[in-house]
Amino acid sequence: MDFLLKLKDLDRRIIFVFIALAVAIPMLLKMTFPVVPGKNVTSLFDFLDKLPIGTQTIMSFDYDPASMPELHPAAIALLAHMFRRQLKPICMANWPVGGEMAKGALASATEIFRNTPESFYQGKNKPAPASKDLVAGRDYVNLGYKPGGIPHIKGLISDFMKPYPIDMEGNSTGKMEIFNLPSGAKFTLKDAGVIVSFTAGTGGIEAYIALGSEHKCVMGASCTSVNIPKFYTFLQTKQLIGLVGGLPGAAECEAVIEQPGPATRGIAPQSIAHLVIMIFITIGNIAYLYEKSRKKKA
Amino acid sequence: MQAISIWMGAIVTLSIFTFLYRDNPLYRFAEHLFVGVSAGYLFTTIEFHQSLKPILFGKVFPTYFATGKDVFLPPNYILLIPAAMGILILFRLSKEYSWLSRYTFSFVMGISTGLTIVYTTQTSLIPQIAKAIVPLFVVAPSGEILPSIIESLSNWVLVIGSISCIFFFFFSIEHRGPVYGTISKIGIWFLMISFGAAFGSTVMGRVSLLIGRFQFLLGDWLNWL
Repeated sequence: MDFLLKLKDLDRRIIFVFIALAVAIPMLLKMTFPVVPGKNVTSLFDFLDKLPIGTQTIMSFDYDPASMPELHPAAIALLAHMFRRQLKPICMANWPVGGEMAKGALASATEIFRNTPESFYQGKNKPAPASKDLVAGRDYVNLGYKPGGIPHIKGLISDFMKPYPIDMEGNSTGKMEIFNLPSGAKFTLKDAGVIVSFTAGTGGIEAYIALGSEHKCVMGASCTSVNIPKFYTFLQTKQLIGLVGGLPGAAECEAVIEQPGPATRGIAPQSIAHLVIMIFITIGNIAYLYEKSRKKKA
Repeated sequence: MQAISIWMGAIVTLSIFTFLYRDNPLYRFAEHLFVGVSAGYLFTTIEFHQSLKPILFGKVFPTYFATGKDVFLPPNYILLIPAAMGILILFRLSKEYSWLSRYTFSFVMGISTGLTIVYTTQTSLIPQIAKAIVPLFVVAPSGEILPSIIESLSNWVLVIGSISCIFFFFFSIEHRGPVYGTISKIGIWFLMISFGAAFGSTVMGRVSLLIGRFQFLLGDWLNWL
């Protein structure tokens, strides 16, 4: 049983090797686990399905490359779904590198949209878009990063265009078709069909929720795993209609759009790695209890 | 060009991973490189082109920096006030004049505190309290027994959990005896479970990031996937 006591003082580097193998082996063996979309993810997609064609949506890219594995696949899936449903995503960012993240996600989502066969729309009993050519400024726009957080978003409620005279590429936003409303009124944050924030930390969906009583928009979020317990409370209060949590949530998004990607491929390594961690925690606890009982006896 | 960037990404990733063994010059080089590149990229590419140019220079000097019809707008000189306040922050770099930066910091802190207190109360505190006030005995709309029991049980957990956790942080009474001691212990149990959930989520997040790097190393770099 002294073996247990030795395990208690196991060098952390040995654990690192086990975790690395637990991640690498399923990847190399191309292991896949089934992904079933949960209620929190499907509710968000269901809401998007109900929005009228041509509705503008706000997509806030509040993350940086450090959170890409968890948030980027969800962003791509949601954007692709919006293009398929002929919605018009307006991408913006409260995080400095968010504009670049949006640029990459838009490129990938456009590719998925272009490669979507007609049979997909027929199978879903949804109208197929007339054209597969997406035009920046008409079908989507990437406005890039603006500082300010809550004060910045508060300003968008009364005048959306003021802080965005140009988009990320430097094109003037004044005459962009995407901001035209059927009523002829000026576009504001209140006109968005939904606000979805991809939140890696502070300054993401919480900033929009803080102003929820003013813009009164429906909100959804995609967050990193670390933030899931915190954001579940917003689901309970119905301040969020859906929540895409971490890599599993992103894999669920890919399952909804029937386009397996990096998140789906990451589920098997993640499950195996979790199993290894659970085994180590169990062994550690058994060793601790054994040591405690031995001390008692002594 | 893409091959070079992939190779550089792989080398820097492996350099960072060497820290798992122990601290070393390779890790420190990668770390400093990351900090330097991030700071430079943030200021030159992002802050200037996406923030300062469109919403400051483009509005104060529209003829030179604005685009489209905004070129013909009259200059908005009032924006020079926040710009000057922003410049005051840079005085932090001077030992003699660093006090000047305090004006800007106090302004920013005042605005942030005011907004945070109001909006946190409105959007987090009050809705959470409102949603914690739930009926303890629920009859499901369908009248079925099992859903009614499950929802009632869920509401009991919510109410007991909320009260006992709040009580745990109430330090005016000593947490001893059959009433106070028991409620406090129940609160600890609920808190421990929530810490466990938070720990589990954090582990999941960190493993996800590792998966992202491995997908890059084994896929984009080595083409093994």
